[in-house]
Amino acid sequence: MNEKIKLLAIISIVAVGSGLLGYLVAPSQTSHSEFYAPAIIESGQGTLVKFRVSLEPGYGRTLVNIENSQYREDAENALIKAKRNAEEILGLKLVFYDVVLDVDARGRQVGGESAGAMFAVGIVSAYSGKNVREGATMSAGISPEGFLFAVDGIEEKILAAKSSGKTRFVIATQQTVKNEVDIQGIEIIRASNIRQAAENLLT
Amino acid sequence: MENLVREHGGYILIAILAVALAFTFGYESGSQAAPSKTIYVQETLNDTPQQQVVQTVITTPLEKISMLLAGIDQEKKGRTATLEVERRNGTGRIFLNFDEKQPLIGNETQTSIKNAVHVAQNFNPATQDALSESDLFYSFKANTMEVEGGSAGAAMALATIALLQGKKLDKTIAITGTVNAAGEIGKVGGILEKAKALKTKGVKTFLVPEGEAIQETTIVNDIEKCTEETIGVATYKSCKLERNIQTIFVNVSNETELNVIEIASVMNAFEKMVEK
Repeated sequence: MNEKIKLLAIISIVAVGSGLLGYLVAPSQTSHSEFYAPAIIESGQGTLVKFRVSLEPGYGRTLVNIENSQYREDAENALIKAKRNAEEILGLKLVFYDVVLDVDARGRQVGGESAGAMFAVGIVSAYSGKNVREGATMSAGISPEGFLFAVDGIEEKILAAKSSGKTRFVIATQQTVKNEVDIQGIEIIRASNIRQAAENLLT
Repeated sequence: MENLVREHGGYILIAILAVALAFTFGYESGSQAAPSKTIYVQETLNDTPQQQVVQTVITTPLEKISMLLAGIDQEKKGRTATLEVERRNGTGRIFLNFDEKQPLIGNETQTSIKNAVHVAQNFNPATQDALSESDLFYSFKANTMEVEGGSAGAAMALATIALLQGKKLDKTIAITGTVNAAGEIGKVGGILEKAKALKTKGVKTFLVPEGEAIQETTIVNDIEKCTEETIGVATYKSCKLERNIQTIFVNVSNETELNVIEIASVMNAFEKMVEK
């Protein structure tokens, strides 16, 4: 009889403890990060698109606002991959958060791989509280292992970033840029992986 | 250890349950993720010559609703998918869940989600009010690589309307059809294949666009007709193909034993599907 009571006591203590643990691990606030990433529009011109990444208490989902943009499937895949890259940098799985992405493409289609790496940096930024530097942006693809690769239209993107007042542009190590020596007023930085890119982009 | 399990098996089970329950409770209260309830008041004006009666209906939006969808794959085989729509307090934004374990969501489907929300918004004043204070989250579960096309438009509109009005939908009724901004349901393909797939999931009634309960199919038969002619010692055989095109009508209801009903608008479909 005595043992049963003891057991019940232990159970209730452990239960209360795990309730407390649940309360503590649950994220209670939303954190977010806002920045601009370069893109190419239908006319072939470069432009900067506003990204907003927020982490909300949730269940490990990736939620994407589709009011102002359409996602092509290569972009969908790139975003899904990028979230895993971000988790690797952070060294944790975002199971207690929903990652919410809002890209203001003004109703245009979001395609290609280049949104991926910037999304990964955005997640790291939102989680760590380190902002993306005011003057910095990036355009690169990202492999499942976190390596950066070259993307199309880099010259137009650099031009667009420069004319929007950006002073630092991160690209993949293998990226070739036409007439790179002539580019002035914006610093081109090469990074081989997402970690290096994040170091150069975040405050 | 074995003795411990044998003697106190029941207690260990209770302990595990209690711990899990406590953790969930702690997590929920810690995250404050559970959407708070808002109450919307819907007023209907009944105009009669003598008097005006104001009927007040109180609606509370649901937090989540799920619905069975039907589609066809590349081999024209019928498939089902599950749509889940979640509501949280917000500002009328529309989100899509990108999940690596679930199919990619094609562009047409993305457009039809937005369209469906628009239809739900214009359904009545209550849905309009509820939407302006909600964010909606759409996710799809299916064993396919991709969800594409607009044939789930009506279903998505109905799920959204039910969610915003706080009404439950009958799980034994499924619907296929596109939807336009006016809430009219438009034609889609693969009705018979979809009906067969839905039947395996326990669906009893299938709402289809007008004129689609009976499917017209053409069967093309090429028949070779040969004639032989003997001139002297030689036999000449000449053949020609005769194409026989046959149009047959397939009654989807007879074929699948589902109750198949043609439906013209989201309004009519909602009356059929809502749980009374």
